[in-house]
Amino acid sequence: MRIDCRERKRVCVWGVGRAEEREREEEEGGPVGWGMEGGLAMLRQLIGEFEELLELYHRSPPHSYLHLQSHSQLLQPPPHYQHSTSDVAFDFDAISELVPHVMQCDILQPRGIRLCFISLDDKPGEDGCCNIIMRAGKPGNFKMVEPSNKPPPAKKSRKENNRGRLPDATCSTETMEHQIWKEFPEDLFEAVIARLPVASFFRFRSVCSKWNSMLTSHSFSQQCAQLPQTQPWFYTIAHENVSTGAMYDPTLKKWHHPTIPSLPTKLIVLPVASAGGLVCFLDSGHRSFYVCNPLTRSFKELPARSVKVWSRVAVGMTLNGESSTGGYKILWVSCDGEYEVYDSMKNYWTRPGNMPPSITVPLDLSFGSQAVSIGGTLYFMRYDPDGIISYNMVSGVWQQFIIPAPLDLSDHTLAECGGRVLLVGLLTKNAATCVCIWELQKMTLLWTEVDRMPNVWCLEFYGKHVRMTCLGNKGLLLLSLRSRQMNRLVTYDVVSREWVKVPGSVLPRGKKRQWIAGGTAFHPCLAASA
Amino acid sequence: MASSIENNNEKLTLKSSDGEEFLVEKHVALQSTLLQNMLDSDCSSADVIPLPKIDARTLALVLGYCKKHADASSSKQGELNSFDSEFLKDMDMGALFNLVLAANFMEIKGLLDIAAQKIADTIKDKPHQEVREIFHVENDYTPEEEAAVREENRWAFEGFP
Repeated sequence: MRIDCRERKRVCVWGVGRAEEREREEEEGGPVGWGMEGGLAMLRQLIGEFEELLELYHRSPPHSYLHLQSHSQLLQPPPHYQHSTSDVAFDFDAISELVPHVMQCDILQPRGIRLCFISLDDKPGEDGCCNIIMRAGKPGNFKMVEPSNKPPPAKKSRKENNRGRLPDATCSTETMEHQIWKEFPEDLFEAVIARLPVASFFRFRSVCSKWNSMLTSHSFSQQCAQLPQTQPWFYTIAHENVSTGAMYDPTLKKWHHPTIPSLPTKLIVLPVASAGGLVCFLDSGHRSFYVCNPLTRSFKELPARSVKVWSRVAVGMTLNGESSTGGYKILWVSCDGEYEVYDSMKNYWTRPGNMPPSITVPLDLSFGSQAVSIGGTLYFMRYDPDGIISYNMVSGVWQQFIIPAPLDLSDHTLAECGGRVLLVGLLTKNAATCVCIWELQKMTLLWTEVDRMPNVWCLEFYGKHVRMTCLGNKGLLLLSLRSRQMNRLVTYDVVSREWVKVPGSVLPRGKKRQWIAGGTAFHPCLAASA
Repeated sequence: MASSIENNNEKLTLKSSDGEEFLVEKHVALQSTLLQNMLDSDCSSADVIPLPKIDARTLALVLGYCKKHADASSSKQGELNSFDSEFLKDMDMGALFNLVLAANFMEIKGLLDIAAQKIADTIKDKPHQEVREIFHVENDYTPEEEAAVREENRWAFEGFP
């Protein structure tokens, strides 16, 4: 039972060390310094004991590993184990599930596997016992506890050394050993690059021409297609600078400012719809449509419409298939019931027919609200009578649903999530204003409130005349709320019902009184081409 | 104690590059497409399947992953997801590198996916010049070309020198 004694002794010594450190930290108001003569002697002794202990376990059959493990749990936090034949340490917690399988369940039976341990791995923060070792010991001390015949590579020592100097730095898994990665297989690059954040991917196009050309590589597109879709981004234009678009990435909470050189600069061009990573723009004179991928500058001006309608139009966009490679369709509809559909595969506008008499004309369309698409059907919000009109892009069928709007509602837009039709708007009663979310009850054709902005945020709007612009209509919404002296940007996640404040400025040079004048959500898609 | 458990499941023995042998249940091994193909084509008639490119430390990790996924295939996906996110969490880059090579060689797609994601997460915030150095990628741009590519993707460089 020598092992047990040693174990207890070790725990004891370490326990003292940690307490001592805490005391010192309290006295000095900071971490323990390097010059601890007594501590060093103690540690040397400790390391010597460690070695002996290692020897013991070296000879022990695997089950004693478990024995050790149970004792080790006396130490808080648990130490980290390391295999003898590797210079690599790993977190005990992370493999705690697998180790018992390896050792206990007779599923993986390493024959003659030499197991030993090391508990000197880096662990940030409150891991006092490790920190003492890290601070007082030289890198050489690590070699003493390395039971391997192979000396640890110099790079490892350097890394440990760095950590020793910066003991309070968080665990640096960021360090990449340059020599190893030289051997990284070519064919795995696409899998890694496809998993980069969108902005990093575009930045890394500067690495070499091969990384640059991945954008158009078929195999790379296939890699990307296998990955789950990320949150949508928002393409916005700001009130005071409509010629400069800004993209918001809600995952990284970051604004980007793309340049789309082909977009006309003399006209005001508004983003009006999106599908499959492509954004559809319409100039403010309602004459020309443009489609582009704001990430890649892939750009197209659509042919002129056959019907000369210069009045305001509502626009919707859908994909023919799962992605933009199967083509897309764009619909415009005007207040007098004129409409046309553009098909990118044919590259012309068609007028499929007339609106049925069941649709009340003139259409009082809500131009502030973008069309919502569910499957191949577009939904537009209308007033007088209040409700929704829908158009099926495949069958060409129009429908109208009369739905009474909630009272005291303003600045409302349609949204959609998983087939549910939602209404987002401002509810104002007396001097209090709140952002509310309603869901359409398809059986009764009534709006039912499902969520509202937290009260503490709504208090800001009290007594103010608030206006709201809602961008995006699927899953994630970007709300721009403003009054005379206030300008707030908030995202609302329809699934998780989370309200999150949006940081930073829309414009590159932070101007005052900037707010979002218009925009659309789009799914960032590297391969989408106009 | 562990060895006393009787198990009638078919097992195979894998041998790491450094000569250690691992006894693995067949359904665990089937997580690897390579081993699956070997078993299908009856190449496994030999007692021991050598995996000459994978050391024992890495193989133990790989088999830990396979074991979890083989046993949990019918259980909750959420549990597997949290296992996956913990699996590589504190792993250093050397171990990760070996794991990627092993997952690639043994054709374990799920493991390759999470390892690729981990590498992507590690390099995502680094300057492109450093990424070039890490992977020893030769810069085949002329200075003019490089400037042009950068200009084309200027929006992505915001916040980078």
